[in-house]
Amino acid sequence: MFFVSICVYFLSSAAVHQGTDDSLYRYQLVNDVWRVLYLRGDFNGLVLEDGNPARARLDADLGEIEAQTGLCTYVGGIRDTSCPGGKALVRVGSISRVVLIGGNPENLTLMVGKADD
Amino acid sequence: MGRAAWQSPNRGFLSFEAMFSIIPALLMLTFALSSAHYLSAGAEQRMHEQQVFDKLVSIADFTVKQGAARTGAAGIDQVRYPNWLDESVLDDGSLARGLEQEAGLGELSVQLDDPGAGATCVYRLVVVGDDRERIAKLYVCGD
Repeated sequence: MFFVSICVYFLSSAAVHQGTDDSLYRYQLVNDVWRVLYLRGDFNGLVLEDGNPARARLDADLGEIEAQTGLCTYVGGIRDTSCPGGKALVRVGSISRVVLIGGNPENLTLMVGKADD
Repeated sequence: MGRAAWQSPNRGFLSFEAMFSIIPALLMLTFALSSAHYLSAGAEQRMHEQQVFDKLVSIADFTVKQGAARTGAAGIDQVRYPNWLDESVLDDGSLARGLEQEAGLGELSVQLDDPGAGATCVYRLVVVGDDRERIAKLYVCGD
């Protein structure tokens, strides 16, 4: 009886903690962020210097996306992360694309996460 | 009166022994069966939730990339713009009705307005407007 109870406990706890598999959806969301930035023309004429209009647009749009979704973002070399550190961060996903920065092709990484509730 | 050779000298004791070993076995069996039932009911529920979620994700992806995506000039090389939505297609409602039947969902809504709490929902990020002036969330909800 004791053995059966232990088995049931482990089986049920393993089953309960198995949530919905949303790996594809998370990948799509990260692509959405990139796609929205692209459609809004935020990568056109992008340079790394502060005060660049394209960079300001990118900042504003990422701020808008974060405000609407509650997600946090990080664009490598361009924008400081708005994500919390350590265990408080749940990583949604990341993608890398080549964009022209100051006329040169550069690999840009976009990381999307959310704060752990 | 003499006892036959096949008769046990302590039949009563044997019956009690059998009873005390069968009762725990039956209890264990009952417990195992009820546990299996509980686990399978949970698994069924989770499978249903996963199926609905997967359908909503597929519908949202189709809507964003094809169903309500803006198109360029008509012709053979008609260009689609994924994530740039034509609001008139969503307002029409026929897209959601068609997809609802295709997916075998009891209820489906595809809209830009926040649906509030209730059904299972997924959202996608899109831009709307002739000049892509607004960032919005496309909600796909169903059950």
